[in-house]
Amino acid sequence: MIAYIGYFLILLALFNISLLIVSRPVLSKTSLDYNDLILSTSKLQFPLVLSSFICLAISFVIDDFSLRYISSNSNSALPFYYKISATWAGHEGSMLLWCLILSLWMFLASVYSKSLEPSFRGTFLLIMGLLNIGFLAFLVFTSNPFERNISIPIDGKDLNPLLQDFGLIIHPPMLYMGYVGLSVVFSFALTCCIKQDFKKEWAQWIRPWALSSWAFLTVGIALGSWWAYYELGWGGWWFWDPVENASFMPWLVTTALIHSLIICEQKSMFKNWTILLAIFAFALSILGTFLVRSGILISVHSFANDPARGAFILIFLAIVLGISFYIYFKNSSKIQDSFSFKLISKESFFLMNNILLVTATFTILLGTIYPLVLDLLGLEKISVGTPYYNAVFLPIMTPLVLLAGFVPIYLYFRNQAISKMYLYVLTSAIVVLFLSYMSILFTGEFNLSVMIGYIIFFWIVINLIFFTYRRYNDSKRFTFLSNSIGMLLAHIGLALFVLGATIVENNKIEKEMVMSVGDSIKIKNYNFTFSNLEEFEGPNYKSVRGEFTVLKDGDEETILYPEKRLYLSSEMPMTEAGISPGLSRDLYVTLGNIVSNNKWTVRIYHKPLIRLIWLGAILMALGAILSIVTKRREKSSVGVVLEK
Amino acid sequence: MRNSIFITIFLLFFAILAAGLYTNTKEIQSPLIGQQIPIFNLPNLNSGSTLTNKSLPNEPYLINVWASWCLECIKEHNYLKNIQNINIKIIGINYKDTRNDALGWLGIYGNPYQFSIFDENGSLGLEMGVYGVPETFIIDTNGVIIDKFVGALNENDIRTKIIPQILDSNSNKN
Amino acid sequence: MILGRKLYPKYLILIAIKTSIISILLFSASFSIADDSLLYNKLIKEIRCMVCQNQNISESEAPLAVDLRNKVKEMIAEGKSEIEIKEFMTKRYSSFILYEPPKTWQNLILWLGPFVFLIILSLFLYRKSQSK
Repeated sequence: MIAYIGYFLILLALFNISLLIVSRPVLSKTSLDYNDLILSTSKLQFPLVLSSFICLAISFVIDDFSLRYISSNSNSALPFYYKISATWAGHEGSMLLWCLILSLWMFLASVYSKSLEPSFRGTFLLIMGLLNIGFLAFLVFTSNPFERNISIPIDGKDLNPLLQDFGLIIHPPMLYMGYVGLSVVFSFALTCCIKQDFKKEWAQWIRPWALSSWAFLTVGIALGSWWAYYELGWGGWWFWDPVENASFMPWLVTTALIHSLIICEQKSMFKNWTILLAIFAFALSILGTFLVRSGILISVHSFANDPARGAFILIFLAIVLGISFYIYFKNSSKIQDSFSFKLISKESFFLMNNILLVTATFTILLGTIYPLVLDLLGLEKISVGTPYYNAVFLPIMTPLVLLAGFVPIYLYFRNQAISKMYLYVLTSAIVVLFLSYMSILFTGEFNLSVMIGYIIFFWIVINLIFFTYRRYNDSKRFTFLSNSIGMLLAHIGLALFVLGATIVENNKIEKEMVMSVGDSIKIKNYNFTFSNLEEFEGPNYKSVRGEFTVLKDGDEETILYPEKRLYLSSEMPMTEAGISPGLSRDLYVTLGNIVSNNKWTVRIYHKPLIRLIWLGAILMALGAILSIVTKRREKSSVGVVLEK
Repeated sequence: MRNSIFITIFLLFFAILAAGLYTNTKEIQSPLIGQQIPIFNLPNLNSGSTLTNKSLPNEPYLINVWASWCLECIKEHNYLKNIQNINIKIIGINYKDTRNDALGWLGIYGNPYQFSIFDENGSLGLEMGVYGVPETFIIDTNGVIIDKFVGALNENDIRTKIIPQILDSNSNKN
Repeated sequence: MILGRKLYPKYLILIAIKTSIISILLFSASFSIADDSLLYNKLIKEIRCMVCQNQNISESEAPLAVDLRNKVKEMIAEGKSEIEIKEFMTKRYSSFILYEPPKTWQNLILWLGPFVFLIILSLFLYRKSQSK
């Protein structure tokens, strides 16, 4: 019954939003305003989709196995909270979540867009509405989560054990908030194109939306990486899997976008370029959906594939992109824009940032699509993985992160005598080299990759500290922070990320061996003893649990419990790693296979500084949020001054 | 001019993705095609006597990699028997199996093989680039691999690819 | 002062060029590996598990992955070099088994494309910035 209501509500939502198209010719003959209709329609959409979503969630909780989606993604023995999260664990439900988030963004955009001119606002929301129609139609016609089973099974097949996990409860909503948030930015940019204008206030208005989408994307990607690290059982945090690439590409372009928006806003330049970035950012997020859901590429994470779904998204993408480009090329030259600047200027450095980020995106796109092209041409099949990206992607990113440490210095010195900056950069470079070299001496052997990691880290951190200190010194007040605290935090996060990633990839220790209870092994100054092995039963699985006592320099450090689980309804074996997290290192133990009686293959990893990867990502997201908040406050304080 | 370049790139991109959607991307061409069968020295599954490259037939034949734990193998088993009935020789490689299980399996489903090479630890399989049992290789008169199939054979494969290639190879010899 | 002003754009451009050249050299020259277990850990991450969905052989417990890991271990013990081991794999399983695409004409666009793209995009945008 509830499922019927849910289905009805989603149809109603599709009907409601489709009114936008149908009513246009009708309304033009009456006195009613089309913009008012758009506004009310876009506000109504969110409660409709939300109720439908809640209906699906309730159906999960009450084990309504008459729905095919529920019977293949849930089981009566599944714990309550996983029943809720199973709502978005499969293709159909996650598409409903996608539509829910799209209508949420549309709702927010209609509520907070009062400051925009009515006709601009109308067009802007109309474009969002049209996107909404596309995704809802996709949901209803190809991926209906409310589809019924022909015969009702007694119990469900169970949720994929990999997805029975806290990380997976929050990872998709965060990621989708980011992906779909870009639709706001996209619709906005396209409206600018249609209206043939991109005013400064508009750039100001769109910036928080771009920043918050970016923050959500950052958190979403970091959560995915964290989940893969502890759940998949081989201790990696990034695999260059097509699905990861699908989320990384929009992230890179959005990073470029939030930088170019600054130039738009401050200098009234780069407007066309920014619009183009906004179009590409959202197009890449649709492309990501296509890559993940069409089964076109071989990936660990892909959903069950169905060419019909792939075809739908592909056509949708072609339409969206085709129309956007048409409008862009027709109108962009009419937008008052400027693209001339000195080779050494703020604009120039920001453009360098953009070029490098766009190139990085192109690299990943090429690496993802190229094997497919070879395949179609009947040439030798290849795999593109980590070695390729290490060789091509990293050299492109290195100048970019160095730029992040340099630009604040340039901005501080640009109105002063040039020799001052000259002197500072030289001093700073020497200090950075010295510190990097010392750090390497203290942490292990000399290794060039690690050296570069340290150089990048110290270069960014020291320069930012200097920048903050000098700014403070100049005014003896912290007011400047309201402008730059977000930037500072995000870039420190970037530095930490680079440091963590380089150190863990170069200095990690990975041992794989056969052990039985009682055996010990020493890794660095840690002594791991396989002290016990026991069997027990969880709510929906059986488990063999090992116990590893870890001594550090002879003192007890921690006890780790890696598990090997067998999920009962799906008969899927799962590895649960035993992890001892720490800021300076993670200890990571997994049980592999049983070799002979009581002998197990065991993997023991020592991962230095791996937490910095996710800490860095959190700081980046926090930085983005802070720049939204601080910008607001600054604006209102200006308002107060003017009123006085 | 610039527009047409742009439109071409745009269309090409979507054409690639659309084509990819309807192409089987799982097929991998084996680099062993055109190569000799690797040198081996393994026991016969039935008798335990030693088999080497000299034990292989001097005419075109098939090598079929199978195992008792492989469910897909059952699917193609009747086709293999049909092939044997039209006088095409099939040599089995019993891949990563136990002798008891393997002999029991042949007892149940029948034995279309001239003999089976008992590759208990998968060493020959590794040399031959086996990754998805069942796999079938076509070998010509000179002992060179001329084609390879991964996964269960179907009637179409046999009619349009295997039999013609074997006949072709036979007529070349004569 | 005047000297400084003249010098400084050149100086900056030099820094930019140098850092990028150095970083390209550093990253593309894959570091040599002395320790056997390091070579083992590197190789098992670059060899694809053919039966799995996009996983390397260190990440999988599939029988084939285990076999290939053992083969790598065995070959390292025999004193085989990284190149020899990779060649062994590609001769049997095609280049698909390596996560590093071979640097052949076929893959020219893949390997050089990004750098060509970078140069073209930079030239295009910087020329555009000077034209007005």
